[in-house]
Amino acid sequence: MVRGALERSWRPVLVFVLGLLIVVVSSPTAGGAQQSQQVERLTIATEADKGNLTPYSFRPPPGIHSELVGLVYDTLFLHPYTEEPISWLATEASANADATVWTVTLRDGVTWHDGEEFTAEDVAFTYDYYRDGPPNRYTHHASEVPVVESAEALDATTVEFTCEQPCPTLDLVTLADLPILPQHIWEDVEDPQTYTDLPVGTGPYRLAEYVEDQSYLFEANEDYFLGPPAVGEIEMPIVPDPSSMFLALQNGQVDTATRPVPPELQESLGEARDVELVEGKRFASIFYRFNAESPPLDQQEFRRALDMAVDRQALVDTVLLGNGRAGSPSFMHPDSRWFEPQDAAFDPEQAGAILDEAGITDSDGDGSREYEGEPVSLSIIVSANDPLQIRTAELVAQQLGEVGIELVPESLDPGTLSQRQNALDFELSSFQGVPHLIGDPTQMIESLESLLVYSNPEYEGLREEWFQSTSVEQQGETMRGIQRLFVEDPPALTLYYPDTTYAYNSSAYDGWIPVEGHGIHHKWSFIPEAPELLGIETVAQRTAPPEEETGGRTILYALVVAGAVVLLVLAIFLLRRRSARGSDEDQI
Amino acid sequence: MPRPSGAAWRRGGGRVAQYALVLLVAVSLNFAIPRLAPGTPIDYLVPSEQVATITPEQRERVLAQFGLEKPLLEQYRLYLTGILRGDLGISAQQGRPVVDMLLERLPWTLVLVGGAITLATVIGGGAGFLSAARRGGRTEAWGLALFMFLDSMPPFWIGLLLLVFFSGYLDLLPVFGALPTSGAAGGFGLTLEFAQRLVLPLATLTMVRAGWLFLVARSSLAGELSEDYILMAEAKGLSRRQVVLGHGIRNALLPLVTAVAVEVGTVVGGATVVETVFSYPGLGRLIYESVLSRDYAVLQGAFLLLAVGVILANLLADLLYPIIDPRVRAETAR
Repeated sequence: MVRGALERSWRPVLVFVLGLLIVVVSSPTAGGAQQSQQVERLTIATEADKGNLTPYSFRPPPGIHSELVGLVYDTLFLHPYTEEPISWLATEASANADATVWTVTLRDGVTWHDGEEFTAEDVAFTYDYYRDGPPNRYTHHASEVPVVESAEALDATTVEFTCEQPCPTLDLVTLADLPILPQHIWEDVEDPQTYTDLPVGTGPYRLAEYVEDQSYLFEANEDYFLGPPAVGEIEMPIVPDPSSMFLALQNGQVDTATRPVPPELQESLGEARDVELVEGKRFASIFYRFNAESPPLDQQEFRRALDMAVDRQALVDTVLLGNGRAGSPSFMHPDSRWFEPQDAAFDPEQAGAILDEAGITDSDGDGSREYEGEPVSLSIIVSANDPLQIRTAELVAQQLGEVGIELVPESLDPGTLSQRQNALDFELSSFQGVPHLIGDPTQMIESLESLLVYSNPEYEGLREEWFQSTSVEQQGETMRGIQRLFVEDPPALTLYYPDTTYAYNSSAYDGWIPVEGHGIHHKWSFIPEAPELLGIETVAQRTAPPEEETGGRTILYALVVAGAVVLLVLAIFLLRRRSARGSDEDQI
Repeated sequence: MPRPSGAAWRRGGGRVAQYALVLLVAVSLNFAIPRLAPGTPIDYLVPSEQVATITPEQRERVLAQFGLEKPLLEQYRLYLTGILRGDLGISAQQGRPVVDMLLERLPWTLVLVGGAITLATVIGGGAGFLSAARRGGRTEAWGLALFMFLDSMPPFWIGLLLLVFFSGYLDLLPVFGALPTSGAAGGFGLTLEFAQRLVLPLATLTMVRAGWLFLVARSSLAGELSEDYILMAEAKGLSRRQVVLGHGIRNALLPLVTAVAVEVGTVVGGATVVETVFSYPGLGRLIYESVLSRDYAVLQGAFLLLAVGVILANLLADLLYPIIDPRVRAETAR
């Protein structure tokens, strides 16, 4: 009797257990797709005070300014180094046949932090204000390259731009770089550099507090047009000393640092608990500017010989400990879409031959060449605050010494350095290339007048061609032509492109995305839609389980499911047989 | 106490006039010296990629925001009249009134620098007196060795070592800042956070400055203790302690007081390095940043503040001398 009961009871139990197994095994697996995390607060250490973060509160390097401005203000298109324009405050832009008139449609329903509505009037006002007012880091986009003759609001969401000459990259570069100011606030501001109120923008964060030389506090803009950002509050203490900054990251007092990790710290920092390193793709270079009015630098052959006498790879290996790329005469950064690779030939013998031909020879056999009777001795001015640049200059001096040219590094305080650079009171000067100088073609064209003082008749022709180009392709072609010209007649000696490695605490936040030209500390790291719009993975997505593992899991699950089904079928079959036999037995 | 005589008033008035003259000279030098350095705020305010393309009108417009486009003499006149009004101009770096900026930094500097001077005087001076009182013994040898060792180490290095040990290795103290960025809870919580962040910079600055105060105190007391009247006091039967404390130290204080007055003048600059290492928002760092950016208004204002501080310290020292040393009192009265 009990046996019968048992026989009867274990069947449903078996079926139940097998059924449960199948259900459990075939339920969707957690993990794989990353959820966008909601983090309440993040602490980011930054290396310098950049003022109250209006476009006019620019300060010289070090430190990031435009990315912080970008937290508070928006541009019309996403950023100026993309392949195609990505809509942001503007949804589309179209030009007329010769690219002199552009019609831009703006997004609807965007509001300023103070609740006012964002309209085309704000855009028109901003471009006029930048063009006619005091200069800042962005004004060249409206006042020089190109000259935006007029920006007119046709209606609440349409703006018409007219350029003096064809401006085919207006949507790609200009509209993507220039932050939009609120007209209702800035129309009363006469002296923008004395505007000290907290900025009002359309951006994903509001600057809630700014304590000079101490810290910034940003609060999320819940009404942001792309939805609330992933981090609720960002606090940014200002920590000028690099050792303190990275020590604070190691012991968890901050979650990330905006300063790139110096080569010598990378190994030890990467080993700290929860600290990860990522290449930020922020454009950086070190180049030497020539004073082409100071003999013998006024001779093209001499400059070319200098270019050939420098062993850039050795500089990367020694000074950067391998964390960088050798420079190229192209001047533009290799990750910029405008870059055309040109090999910097390292050929000291050829350099010597060129110098001999130019008549700059070592006539008295003392190891140094003479020019017009005087030994060639050039001085190079470097910032005293940058040990990497100083060390680089010393190494380059050694290399140039091999071809008989004496180079004397002179380190100056940053204030004096700026003044002498601007007054052209130097022979060679060490410069740090900032992203928009080596990534933004319009800035480069402008800088060839002001910063680099490049005078070459062939270049004049190319420059005219650039200004007359009516399409992006044409401008691209011209830029490539200019860079080919640079091989014979470099405007500057680009030494190397240092890697820009950033450190972050992965347990605090891992939504960082490296965006070319900007690093990882910018608004797109906090906007959940941004990785998809940009087609870039977050650091979290990069460290997700690799494909093979996921594939293996699927097979495993399939096997288990199949096994469970087989067992179930077998069990049912056996039970049937058993009961059939049983009933047979009963019948007996 | 007899009423001050007319002569005393004249002397007092003379002294005030002396100080006023010193202040005027200091203030004028403060105006001239920053402008002698090469470079103008333009080199700082306009990105270098664009400096050569800005027009003279634009250049003047940028300078005009800070009153720097006017002729030098006019700027000087406005500067002097401004001081009398309490208006020190607008900072080129920040765009804000210089007075506000200085007042914001002053408390931090007073706490850090004032605390460091006090501790350095007590510890360094005290150790110096102790060394002198126990000449030739182990105390003196150890004291001298310790303080000379501390004196030889650069402040940057001491600061970093302390940071690495206490913040990095032991994780006891925060690495940077004067206050936590987000407002800490209540009065006591805030005080605790503030105190935690003060410990390392204060310790660093104290260690750096104590060395020479030790030497001054030691040589001063050693000199006094070799005088005849000390021998007389010991012969009278006074204990060593009574002799040293009651007679020796009292007379040896003068040079130490002078040294402290000088300290006040030099320590703010010396604190710059400590402020940078620990991200402490004091005057030293502000001055450094202003020198780099050629922010004349801030430099003028900050140096004025320092000049006033030094003059006050000297005035205080002047007033203290007669109290400490009756011989000085008598001489002045004659």
